[in-house]
Amino acid sequence: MATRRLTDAFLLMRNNAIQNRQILAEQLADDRMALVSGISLDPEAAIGVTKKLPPKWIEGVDEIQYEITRIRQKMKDLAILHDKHMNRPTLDDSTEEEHAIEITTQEITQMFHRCQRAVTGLQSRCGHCTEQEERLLRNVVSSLAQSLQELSINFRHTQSGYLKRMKNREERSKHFFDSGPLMEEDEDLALYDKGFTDDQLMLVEQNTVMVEEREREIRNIVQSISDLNEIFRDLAGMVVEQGTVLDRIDFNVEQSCVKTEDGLKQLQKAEQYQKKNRKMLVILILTVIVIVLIIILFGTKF
Amino acid sequence: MNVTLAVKQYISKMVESSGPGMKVLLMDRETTSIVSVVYTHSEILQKEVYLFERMDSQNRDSMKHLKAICFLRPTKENVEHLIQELRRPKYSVYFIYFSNVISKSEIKALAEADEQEVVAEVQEFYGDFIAVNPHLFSLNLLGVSRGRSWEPSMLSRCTQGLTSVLLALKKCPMIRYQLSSDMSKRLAESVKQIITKEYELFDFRKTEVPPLLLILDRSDDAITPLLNQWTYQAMVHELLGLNNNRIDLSRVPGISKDLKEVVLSADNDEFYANNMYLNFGEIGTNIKNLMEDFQKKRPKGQQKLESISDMKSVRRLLQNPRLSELDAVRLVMLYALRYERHSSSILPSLMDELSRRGVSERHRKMVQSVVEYGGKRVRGSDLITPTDAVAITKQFFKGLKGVENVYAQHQPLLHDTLDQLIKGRLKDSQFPYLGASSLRDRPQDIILFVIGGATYEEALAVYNMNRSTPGVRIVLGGSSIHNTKSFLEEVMSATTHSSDRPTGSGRHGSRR
Repeated sequence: MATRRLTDAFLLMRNNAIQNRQILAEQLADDRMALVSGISLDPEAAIGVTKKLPPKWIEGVDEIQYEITRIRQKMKDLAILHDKHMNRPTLDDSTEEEHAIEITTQEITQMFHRCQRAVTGLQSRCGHCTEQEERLLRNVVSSLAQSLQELSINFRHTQSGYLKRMKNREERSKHFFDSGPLMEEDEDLALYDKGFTDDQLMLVEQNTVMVEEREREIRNIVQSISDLNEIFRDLAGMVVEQGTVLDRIDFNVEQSCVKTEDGLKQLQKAEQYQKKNRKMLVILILTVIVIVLIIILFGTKF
Repeated sequence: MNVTLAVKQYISKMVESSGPGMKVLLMDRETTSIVSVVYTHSEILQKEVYLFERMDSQNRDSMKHLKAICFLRPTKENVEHLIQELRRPKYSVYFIYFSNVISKSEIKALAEADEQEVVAEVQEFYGDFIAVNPHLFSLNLLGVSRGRSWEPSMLSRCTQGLTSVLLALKKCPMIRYQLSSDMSKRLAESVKQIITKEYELFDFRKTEVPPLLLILDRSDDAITPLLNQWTYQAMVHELLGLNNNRIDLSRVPGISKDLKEVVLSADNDEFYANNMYLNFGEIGTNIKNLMEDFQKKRPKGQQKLESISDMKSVRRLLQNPRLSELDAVRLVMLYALRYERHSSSILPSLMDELSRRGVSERHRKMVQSVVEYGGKRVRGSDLITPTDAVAITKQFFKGLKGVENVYAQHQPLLHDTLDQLIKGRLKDSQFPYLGASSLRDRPQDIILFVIGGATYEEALAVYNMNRSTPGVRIVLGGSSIHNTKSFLEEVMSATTHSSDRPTGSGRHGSRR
C-alpha cells in the first residue's frame, strides 16, 4: 500500500512559522514595551490553557492491564507445570508438583476474580464526568472485559484439556492394574488362596492411594472450571457481541451525535417550561394582589 | 487484489504507529463510513482506540490524556476544522492522516496554525473509498451526471476515489475507456493526469503484464439494475437497502426492536459469507419471510423479452392487479429499452395501461427518462441483439433441463465485456486505450469502474470470474451500488438536469 510522508515538510513549515511569529513578537515588544522586561513569549500562558489532570479511573485501568499481563504469565507457567506433570513416570510419587499446580491454579483463579471485580468497579468510578468521558470509560471497560473474557476461555480450555489427559491416564493405568491380579488368578486358580498375597495387597494399597490423588486433582480442576464459569457469565454482560450493529463504529458515532442533539432538545424544552413557569407565577401574584386590594376596598367601605 | 484488506492495513498502520496509550479516532462523515466497513468496534477497541468522534462535532471535551488520530478527507472544510482544533488542541498529540493528496498550501496553513506544536505526524494514506467486499468498492455518490456530462464536483471526487484505489492496490495501470461515453473519456483523462503529476507515488515495481483500468458507463447497461436479483446480497439490497453493509429494518412490520438495524458483513457473519452469492433457490429454505414477498414478484422481474409473443404477455402481466406500482413501471421500462426501435412497439398502449392503473406521473416520467438514459442512441454496444439468437437457444435448452437455474438467467453486459477483455478480444474501436501504448498480452489484474454505479449482480459476475479464471484478478467499483430505487433516482437526476439549464448543482450527498 502506498503512502506519503509529509511530516518533514510540515515540521519545516512549522518551524518557519514559529520563527516568524517570534520575530514579529520581538519587534512588537521592542517597539511598544522597551522598558518592561520579562514579557512572556510563552504561547501557552498567552492563551491561558490550564492543564487538566487525567481522571482518576485511568490509574485503575493501568492496574487492570498490569494484572492481565501477570495472568498471562502465570498461565504460561501453569502450562509448563502441566506438561512436566504429565510426562513424569506414573509410579513416581512427587506431590510437590501437584501442589505447585494446585497453588498456581488457585492464584490464577483469584487473579481473575480480582480483575473482574476491578472492571465492574471501574464502571461506577466515574462520578461527575462528562458524557464523552463516560463513553470513553464504557469503551475502555468493554475492551478490558473482552480481553479478560478471552483469557478466561483460554484458561478453561487448558484446564479441560488437562482434565481429559488425566482421565485418559487414569483409565489406562486402571486397565493395567486390573489385568494384573486377574492373570494370576487364571493361571493358578485351584492352587492359591482366594485371598490376596502380600504383594497383591501392597499393589492394591498403592493403587487406591493413587486413585484418590487423581480424584482429588480432578475435583480441583472441575471446581476451578466452574468458578471461571461465573466470571465468564459476569463478563459476558459487559462485552459487546461481535457482528451486531452495536459493533459498528459509525453506529456509535451516530449515537453520540444523537445524544447531543437530544440533549439540546431537552434543554430547549426545559427553557420553554421555565419561561412558562415564570409567566404563571407573575399572573398568580397579580391576582393575589388584586384580591387583597379588593378585600381592603370592601373593608374600608364597611 | 483485495480492497478490504488494503483499507484495513492502512488503518492498522495508522493506529499502531502512534504507539501505546489511549487514543481517540477523529473522522469526518465519509471517512467514518470508510473505517466502519472494514473495522469493527470491538476490533479497534483492542488496539486501544477508545473514543470515536466526528471532526465537525461541536463541544468535544478536552481530554489531554488521549492521543488523537485524525483520518480525514483532504477537503477545505476539514482543513478549516483542523486549523481551529490545532489552535486550541483538545488532545495531547495529533497524528494526521489524509485519505488523498493534499496541497502544499494547505499543509502550510496547518503548520502555521500549530502554535502549540502538538502535531507529530502528517501523512497521506490513500483509503478514499468504501471497500464493500474484497473485490468490490463504492464511492457512495448519487447524481454523478448531468445529462450526458459530468457534474463537476463529482468528476473530481471520482478521480480522487479511483486514484486512491490504484495507490492502495499499488497498481499503475494502462487505461481503457468506453468510446461511446464522453464521461468515461473525461474520467480516464483526469486519472491519467493525476498519475502523470504524481509519478513518484505511482513508481511501483513493474510487472510483466501491466494492470488494466477499464472505465465503463452505467447507461450502457440500464437493464441490469432494473431486474430483480436472486442472490442473497443483491436481494437484500434490492428489498431492504444495504448501506455500507448495514440494513435498516425499522420499516418492516412486526420486527423486534433488537433487529432494527442489522449488519451484513462477510468478515463477521459466516452464514452471510457462505451464502452471499448463492442462488435464491439454494438458500430459500432459510429465508421464509422474504419468500412471500418474492412469490409475487417472481413472474414479473425475470422476464427476458426475447420474442414478439412476449409483448402480449407484458400486457397481460400489467393487467395483473397484484403487480406493485414499482414493478409495473419497471416492466414497462424493460420493454421500452428492449423494443425502443421496434416497428410494432406497443409502448404507447402500455403507457396508457400504466396510467389506467393509477401509476403516478412521476413514475411514468421515469420510463421516458430511462429510455433517454439507456436508449439505443446512447449505448455503445448492442445490449440485447447479439445475445438474442444465442440466448433463445440457451433458454430452450434450459427449459429442457428444468427450472434449475431459471433464477440466474440474466447475465449482465459486464460479464460479456469482461469475458472478451480476458481473452484479449475486446475491440479497440469500442474501448480504446488512453495514450499510445497498448497491452500486448492478456491482462492479469483488472480494475473496473462503472460511472453511475455498479450492482451486486455485476459483483457476483466478477466474483465468479475471479474463481473460474485463476490467472486473472478483477476488482469492480462504481460511484455507488445500485438497487432499482437508487438507479431510478440517478436516472431522474441525470435526465431532469439535462433538460433544464444547468443551474445549481446536482444532488451529491452520500447516502447514510
